[in-house]
This record gives sequence, structure tokens and C-alpha cells, in this order.
Amino acid sequence: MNLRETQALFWKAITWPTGVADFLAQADDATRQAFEATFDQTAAFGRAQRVEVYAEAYFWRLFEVALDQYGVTAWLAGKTGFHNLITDFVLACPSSTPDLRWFAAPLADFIRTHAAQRRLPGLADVAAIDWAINVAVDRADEPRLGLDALASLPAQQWPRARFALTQTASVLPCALPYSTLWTAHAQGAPVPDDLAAADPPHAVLVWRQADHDVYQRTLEPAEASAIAVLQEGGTFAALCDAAAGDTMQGAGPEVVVQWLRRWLTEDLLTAVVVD
Amino acid sequence: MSKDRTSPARPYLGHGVGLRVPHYGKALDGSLDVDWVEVISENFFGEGGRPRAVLEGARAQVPVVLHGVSLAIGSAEPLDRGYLDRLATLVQRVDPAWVSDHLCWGRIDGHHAHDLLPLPYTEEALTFVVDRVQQVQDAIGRTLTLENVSSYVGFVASQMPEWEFLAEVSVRSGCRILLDLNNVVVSAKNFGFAPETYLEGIPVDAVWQFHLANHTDRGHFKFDSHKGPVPDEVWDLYRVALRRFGAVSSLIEWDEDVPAWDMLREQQKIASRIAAQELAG
Repeated sequence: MNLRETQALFWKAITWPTGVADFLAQADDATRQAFEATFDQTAAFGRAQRVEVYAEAYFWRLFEVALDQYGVTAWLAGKTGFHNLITDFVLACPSSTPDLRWFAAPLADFIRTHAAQRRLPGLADVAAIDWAINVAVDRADEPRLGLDALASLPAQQWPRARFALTQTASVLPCALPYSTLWTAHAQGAPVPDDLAAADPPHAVLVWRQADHDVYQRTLEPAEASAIAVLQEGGTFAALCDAAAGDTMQGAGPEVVVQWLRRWLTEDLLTAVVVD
Repeated sequence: MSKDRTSPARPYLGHGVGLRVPHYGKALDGSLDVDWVEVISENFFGEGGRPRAVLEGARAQVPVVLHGVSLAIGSAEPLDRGYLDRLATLVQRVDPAWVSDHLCWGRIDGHHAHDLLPLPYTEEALTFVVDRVQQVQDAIGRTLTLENVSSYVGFVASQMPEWEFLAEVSVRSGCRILLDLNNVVVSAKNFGFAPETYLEGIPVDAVWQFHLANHTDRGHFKFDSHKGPVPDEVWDLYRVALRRFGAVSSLIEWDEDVPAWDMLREQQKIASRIAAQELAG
């Protein structure tokens, strides 16, 4: 057996979902013989037991990382539910990245196809936001716009001004009240028993502030529409037009100014450009 | 033996600590009070945020060593060029004292175990690893330092003991050795050899660094847990290693239930004190 074949056998044994002993029990004679001919053992420590050390480490390492990254999702799914979810996920989506922190990136999409989503509609949305918080942690640094930059902007230039949103920001739909759930989870509260999926979903903003901390908050529909205008590169005039129109439920320019102030305070804006 | 136990070719950083998340604040507020730190390379592959600030803060205070866990030098498939590019970029940015990873494999068919899986110690594997070390060194522009891993299973096909394999990799490729003394103790128990025999098989000038850590005794085997203070048997082997290899930079690894900084610092001070005792004679 060459190096490649040895590693293939090792991998198959440690990723078998029910352990190395069961892998061998279900393997054909040729595989069992290859296993015996490949791995050494001693009287006190058999070869299957030895390989099982790696099998256990394989699953639990991935599980612990997923638990750390998907805190609200795990809390909602429950201890057993999350364990079963990650077991299925690791089987279906073995890590394809050298960076352990990224192996669970596809979890939200996986949940959409999983029984856990049918048990709790909206769980996949929650997972997507948990993940967005992770992703925001080490995105590229950017200068943040201060209030002084706006104060020095000549009045005649305001209509053509375009405000750039931080690249760490993302707006995600969530059928469950993520911000409320995040707080409850952080406080150690039990999972509410009256969770129901909202239609249309809430919009949740995730971003990183200049101090490196990552935040999330639920957006009112009008502010979500305004941020969409920013993301599309719209001007201040376009923001005001949209605010006055149906898409933002009749919000006026004064509301746009309030949003701008808040976005500046929250380090959401990185630049202002005048065409 | 000479009293000057430093090697002219080997930089001596003193005694460091593996910098982990609970203590990132020490890098940010300028209060790192150890000789050097080691960081997990992959945790700093991102473009910005707190990780980048931590690395820059640490680098501004003390020497930094980049220690990878996903190179998979022994995986029987082409090296991950994307990974190497990211590592090379990080090396350029950080200018580390040196760059290390493990003598193991962990990737197959593009899938990652995120574990340090053992190699069969065969001529085939040796030739393969030596070639790969050279590819890595070309890619990152640095000499690689390779660490021995803790092992739980051996291979019928092995043609030499692990220390001989590691020594040959170093001799043939020019890579250096990060000798993890806890891993030697763990593997010694799991395979029934004397830890001192391992050290005697390693060329003196190839050893660039020691790792010091704890393990968990599970009765019929030892498990590399990196949890808890360095145990006496690892300190004892550290004394033997200092007498054989001379002044080699040491590093405390503690990854599970990471304690308060003062506790890590205490372990680092013990390493320093033992080195002073052993190297004085």
C-alpha cells in the first residue's frame, strides 16, 4: 500500500460516522485485511482503538468550532439538535478549507435542506447572521468617516454626495427576531417557546466598528431600504427621493439626516465622494 | 561541553508563550512581558480587524513566530497553492523570527481533517516530504521549521523510528526542527520507547525551538491535550534536551481552558529558570 492509499484508508476510517469499530464491521474482507496490514497495535492498545483516537478528535474539533461560531443557532437548536445537525453537516460537507475557522461557512445553506429548519423555520436565517458576524471580524480595515467630514461638505455638493458603507457591513433577512434572540442567548435565558417565523422577514444589519467589535441590530424597513440605496451607490439626493417615496414609507429628509448621524456614530460610513 | 551553549547559526529568542485569544489584549495594550510569542498562522490570514491589530501589536513588542497547523506537508496530493500564497503574504507582512508547521498529513482529495495525522516512516514518505519541504521553502522564501507530532498509531510499513525520519528530513531538505518535548513524552508512552532515545537521534544544530505543554493520561495511552501546567516528566525531559541541544528558544503551549496570563507567565519563568540552571554548567 503506497502513501496515498494508506492515507485514503486512514481518512475513511476516521470519518466513518459511527466510529472505527463499526467501519471495520461494515467493511469488506479486503478492507479489514488492509487495515490490519497497515496499522500497528499492541496488546494493551489495539489498532482500531488507536485510530479511533483520531476519529473522535476529528468530529469534536469541528463540533467545538461550529458551536463557538454559531452560538445563537446552537442555542435555538438545543444540545441534541445541534449535535445531530453538525454530525449530518460534517458528513455531508467535510471541510474544504485549510483554515478551520471557515469550515462551517456553508452551514446556513445546509440547514435550509435539513430537518432542523422544518422544526424551526427561520433557523437557517439565524445561522446566516451568526456566520456574518464571524466573517466581519477580520475583513479589511477601512478609514471611517467622521462628523467633521460632513460638516466641511459644501451645501451645494450634498445632493451629489455618495456615502460609502463599510465593507464589513451586510444586511440579511431573518424570519426570527435575531437581535432579541441574541440578547436572550447572551443573558443565558431559555429559548422562547412561542417563536414564529415573520413574513416578510426582519432585516438585520451586521457590521464591525472601528474598535474592531462586531455589532448587529434589526433595521426598520425604511432604514433597510435606505441602506440598500447606499449599497447600490446612490447619492444623497437619491436617498431623499427614496425616503419621500413609497419604498421608505414616506420618511422625510430629516429622517435621512438622522440616519446619517447614526451611521456616522456607528462607524458605518467610510467615505463621502462627490461626483 | 562548552559553556557557550548558543549556536552561531541559531537565533536564541529566550522563553515565550503561545499567544491565544484570551490574551490578545496583551498585544493590543503593549503589555507583553515575555521574550517572544508564537501565533497560529491561519488565525491571521484575514485582511484586517482585531486579529491584524493583535499581530501588529505583538510584532511591535517582541519577536513573533508563525506556527501553522494546516500545511499538510505529508499529504499525498499537490500542495495547496492558495494556502501557500496566503502564508507567504503573512510572512512578508510579519517578518517572523521563523515559520513552523508539523511533520504530518491532514488533507486528502481537497478535504481537511484539521488534525495532525501521522505518517508512515518509509523511504517513500521521506523522499516525498523532503521534496515538499523544498517546495514550501521556495514558496514562502523562508527555511521551514518542522515539529514532531503526538501519535497514537504507527504503521506496519514504517522502516525507521520517527526521530530518524525527522532527522533525515532535516538533513536532506535543510529544514529546521521544532522539538515538542510533550509530544515526545506522549508518543514515547504510546509506542513504548524512552524519550531520551528520541532526543539522541536528533541532530543538535537542527533544533531551533522547544515546545513545552501538558497532556492527558488516559490510562493505556497519553493524549496531547495542551491543557494544564507543564508536567514534571516534560520538565525533566526539557533538562535533558537543554543539556544535549544547548540554548534553544522555548515556548509554553496551553490551548484548552487557557488560564490567566499570570499562570502562563509563571510557566514561562520556570522554563527560563531551568534553562539558566542547565546552561550554566
